[in-house]
Amino acid sequence: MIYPLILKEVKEIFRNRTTLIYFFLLFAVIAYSFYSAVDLYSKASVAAIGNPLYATGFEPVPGVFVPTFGGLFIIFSLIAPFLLIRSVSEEKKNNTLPLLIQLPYSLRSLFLTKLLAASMLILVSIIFFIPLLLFWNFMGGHIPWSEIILLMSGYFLYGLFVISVSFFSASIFRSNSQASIFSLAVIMFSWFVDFGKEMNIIPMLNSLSGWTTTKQLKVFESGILSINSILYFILLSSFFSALAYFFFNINIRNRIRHVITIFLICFVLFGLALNVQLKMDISESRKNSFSANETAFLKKSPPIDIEIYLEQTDGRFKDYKSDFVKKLELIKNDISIHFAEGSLLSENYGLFKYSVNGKSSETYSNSSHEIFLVLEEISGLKIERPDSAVQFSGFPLVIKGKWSGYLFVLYLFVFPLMILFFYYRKNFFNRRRKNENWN
Amino acid sequence: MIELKNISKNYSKNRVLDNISLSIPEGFVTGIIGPNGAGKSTLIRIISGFEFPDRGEVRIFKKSVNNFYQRKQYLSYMPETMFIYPEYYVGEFLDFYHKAAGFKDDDLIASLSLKKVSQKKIDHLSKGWHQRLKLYIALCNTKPLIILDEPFDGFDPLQLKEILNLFRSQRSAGRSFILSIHQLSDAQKICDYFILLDEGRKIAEGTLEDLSNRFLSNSGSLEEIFIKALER
Repeated sequence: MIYPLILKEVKEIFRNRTTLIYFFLLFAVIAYSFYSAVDLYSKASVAAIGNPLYATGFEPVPGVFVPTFGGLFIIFSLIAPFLLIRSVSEEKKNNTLPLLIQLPYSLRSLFLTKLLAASMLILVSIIFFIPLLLFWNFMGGHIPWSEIILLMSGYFLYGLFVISVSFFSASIFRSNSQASIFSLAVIMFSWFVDFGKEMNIIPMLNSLSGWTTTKQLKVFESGILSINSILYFILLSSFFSALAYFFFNINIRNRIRHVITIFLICFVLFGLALNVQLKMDISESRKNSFSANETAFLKKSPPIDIEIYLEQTDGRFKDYKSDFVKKLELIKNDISIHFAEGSLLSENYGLFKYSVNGKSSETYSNSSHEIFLVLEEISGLKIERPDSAVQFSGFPLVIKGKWSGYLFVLYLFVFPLMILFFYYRKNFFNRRRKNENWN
Repeated sequence: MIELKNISKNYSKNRVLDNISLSIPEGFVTGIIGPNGAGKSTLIRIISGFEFPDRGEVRIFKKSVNNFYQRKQYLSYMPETMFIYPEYYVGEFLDFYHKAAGFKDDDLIASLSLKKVSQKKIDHLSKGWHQRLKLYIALCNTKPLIILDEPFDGFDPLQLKEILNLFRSQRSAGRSFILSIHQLSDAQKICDYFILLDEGRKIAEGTLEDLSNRFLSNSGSLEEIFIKALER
C-alpha cells in the first residue's frame, strides 16, 4: 500500500521543472570542476615525473575528486533547498495533507516517504559522478576506491543534512521564499563560522568551528573514516527532521513540549557521540597517520599532556595541528591539550611543553621529528629505527590528447538530453497513455 | 451520533467558538449555517479532529475521541481550502487515489461524470469540476459519516441539481452528512437538520419545522428563520 505514495513523492520531486534546471546546473558544475581539477593535476604532474619525492604529493582524491565534489557542495547548499522545500510546502499550501492522511497512511509514513524521495535526489546527484571515475580510469588515472566511497558517503550525509534543514524550514514557514532564505541561512551558518574563525572576528567561534558541517565534511575528504563525523551528520539530520515532523504534523497538541523533548534528547545524544572516538585513516598515502613504528610507540606511551604557548590563530599552531595533533588524535584518546594565557603566554611564546608520567620537557619546534625525540626522552620508550614502512610513491598523471571534448559532450549534451527525454516521457507520453485508459 | 460539550476555541485573543454544546443525529444531512466568520469551518475541523478545541469534548458514536487518527475509521472530511495536486491529470490522480485507498467506486465516477475530464490537468479544471473531484474523494469510501466544508461552492444551478440528487441517493444508502454552508437556499434544499451559528455562538439547532415553530408564527424559509434568530 505504501508503494503508490512512494511513487507519488518521487514523481513530485523528479518531474518538476526546477529539477530539470537543478540537473542542468549540476552537470555543468561537475564537468567544469572535473575539467579544471584534472587540467591542474596534469600540468603539475609534469614536474613530478622523474622526481619521486615530489610525486608523493600526487593523490587523485585530494587532487581531483575533492575539488570536483566541491561543485556538488555548492549545488547541495545553494540550489537543492529550493527543490526540497517544495515537497513539504506545496502540501501545506494546497492543504492536501487531510487528503493523504485519510488514506491508509499515517503522517509519520508520509513524512518518511518524503525523506526517502528527497534522499533519492541526493543519491542520483552523486551517481552522476560515477562516469567521471570511468573517465579518470580511461585516462590512466588511479582510483582509490575506499577513499572515493568515503567521499561519496560524506556528501550523501551532507545531503541528508540539507534535506532535513529544508524540510524544517518548509514546515515552519508559510511562504516558499521565507523557507528558502531560512534554510540557506542555517546551511551557510557553517561558512560564517569558518570565515569568522579564519578572520578571528569573534573568539567564541573558534570553539564552534570544530563542529561545523564544512569541518566535518573535510574529515571525509581527508580520507578519515570517523564514526564521530558520521554520528554528527546522522544526529544533526535527525534533529532537524524530528523538528520538521512536529511542525508538519497538523494533528499534534503541545508542540512546544515536543520540541523541548527533541532538544533534550539530541543534546544528550550529541554528548554521547562526542565521546565516541573511533577514527581510522583509510587514505592510501596514510597522510593522516604517523609511521608504523611511531604509531606503535604512541600506543605504548602513557597519557600525554601538552601545554601550548601559542595563539590559536598563529600559523605555527595551524601547522602543528594539521601535521601532529590531527595524527596524534587518531591514535591516542588520552591526550590533553591546554593553551597558556596571560603573562605566561607572552613570556614563553612559541613554546610546546610535554608531560608524560610527571616528567616534562619542552621544545620550540613544531616538527614531528623533534617532538618524538622529546617524547622518547620523557616517556623512557624508544621508537624502533629504521622505519620499515613502504613509502607512498604518489600517482602523478600527465594527460595527453583532447579528452575534455568527450567530457563536455557527455555532461553538457548527452546527460541533459537524457534527462529531458525522461522528463517528457514521464510527464507527457506516459500520462497520455494512462489517461487513454479512462476513455 | 456526534455530541459536542462546551467546545471553545480561541485564535490568539479572538474567540472563534464560544462554549458550544450540540448533538448531531445519525442518518441526517446536517447543515452548519451562518454568515462568514461565524465559526463554521473551525467547528467542522474540530468535529473532524483536524483541530483541537481549547476546552470541551467531542464524542462520536458515544466514544470520546481526541484526534483525527481515532476518528479516521468513522468519517471522511473534505476541507474547503484544499486544492488537489494541480500538476496531476484527473485520470492520473484518480489512479493514484484508487491504488492508495485500495477502493474504487465506478458508479460514483459515472454519477459525477469524472471521465469527461480525466484527460484534463487538475490545474485547468473549473471550480465546479474541481469540487466534483473533491466530492468523489470524500465519498469514495465506506465510512458512515461524511463531513464537507462548503461543498456547493462553484456549482451552477444545473450542476447543483445533479449534486443534490447524488446526496439524496447517498443518504438513502444510510450515510450521515455534516455540511458547512453559507448559502441558505442551498442548505434548505439538501439539509434536514440545522445548526445556526453566529460570531462563534450557537443560536439554535433543530429541523426546519422545529426552527419555524420556535422563530416564526407559521412556516417560512430558512433565510427568514435565520434573520429572526439573529434579531433575538
